[in-house]
Amino acid sequence: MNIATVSSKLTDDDVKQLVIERLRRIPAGKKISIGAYGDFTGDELIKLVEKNDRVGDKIIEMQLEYLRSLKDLLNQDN
Amino acid sequence: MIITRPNHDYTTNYLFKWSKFIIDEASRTKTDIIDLVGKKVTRNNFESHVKKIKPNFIIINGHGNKDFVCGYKDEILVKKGVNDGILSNTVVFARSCSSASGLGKACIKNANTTYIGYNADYFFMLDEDKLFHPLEDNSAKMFLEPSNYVAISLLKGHSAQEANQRSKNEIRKNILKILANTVSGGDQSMLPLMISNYNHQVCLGNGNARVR
Repeated sequence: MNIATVSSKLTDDDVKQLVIERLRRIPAGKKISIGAYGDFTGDELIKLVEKNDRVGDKIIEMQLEYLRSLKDLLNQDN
Repeated sequence: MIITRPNHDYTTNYLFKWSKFIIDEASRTKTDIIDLVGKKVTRNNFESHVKKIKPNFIIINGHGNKDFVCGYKDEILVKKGVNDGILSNTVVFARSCSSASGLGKACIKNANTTYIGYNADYFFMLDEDKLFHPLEDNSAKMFLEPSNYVAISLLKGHSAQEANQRSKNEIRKNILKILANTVSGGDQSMLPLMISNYNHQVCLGNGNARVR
């Protein structure tokens, strides 16, 4: 079963929880710059994901894109 | 060439500082440079320089969205349907969020225009203790060095399409280094940001254009 199939069976809450767990891995002292939206620590991003904020939605989208894309990227020739 | 480098917040200040390496390459290749920095990055100033020197290469650092790119304090520099013609007949590298998806597409209606940029948000990671020393930030380096490579490759004489691909190859190399745990300053939480940048960095229009 591939990631796309798995993610299509997850509920929105499952996806949100998955993303939050991934955001917990951002090391202390690091921030993520998201253009004009500003720069955020992992804890700040978790709160935005929990609130269904626009930046939180962007982060969810980015994390899911990552899970879908990694295999393709690794399979590319140089 | 013209390069814009506003520096009114942490993100733009990082782009400002890391653009040093592009300017160094332009100097090395004896390329004439108009370097619009800080408060000088206004629409009026930008337009008057473009009209006067008619550059074949424009680098825009700053915030943006799908329809426009910004200068100092987020003043709109170029907006789709308003003054996008100012970028006609040039190679543009826009290091700003999402502008390729609207502004870039509008610009390349002119067949002699090339637009390299991002059709989604541009992400990078930074170290809180390096906020005032961006060039010492090894986390940001993992992102900004590959994007610099678009401009540096163009200045070295590569075509726009080649420059875009060479830059993306550098992103991919960093992704692989992180996966293999062979780089200092890299960690797995950077990977989604890098892959997003990789997927959404595009070269639109005349991919065969060169700036040298």
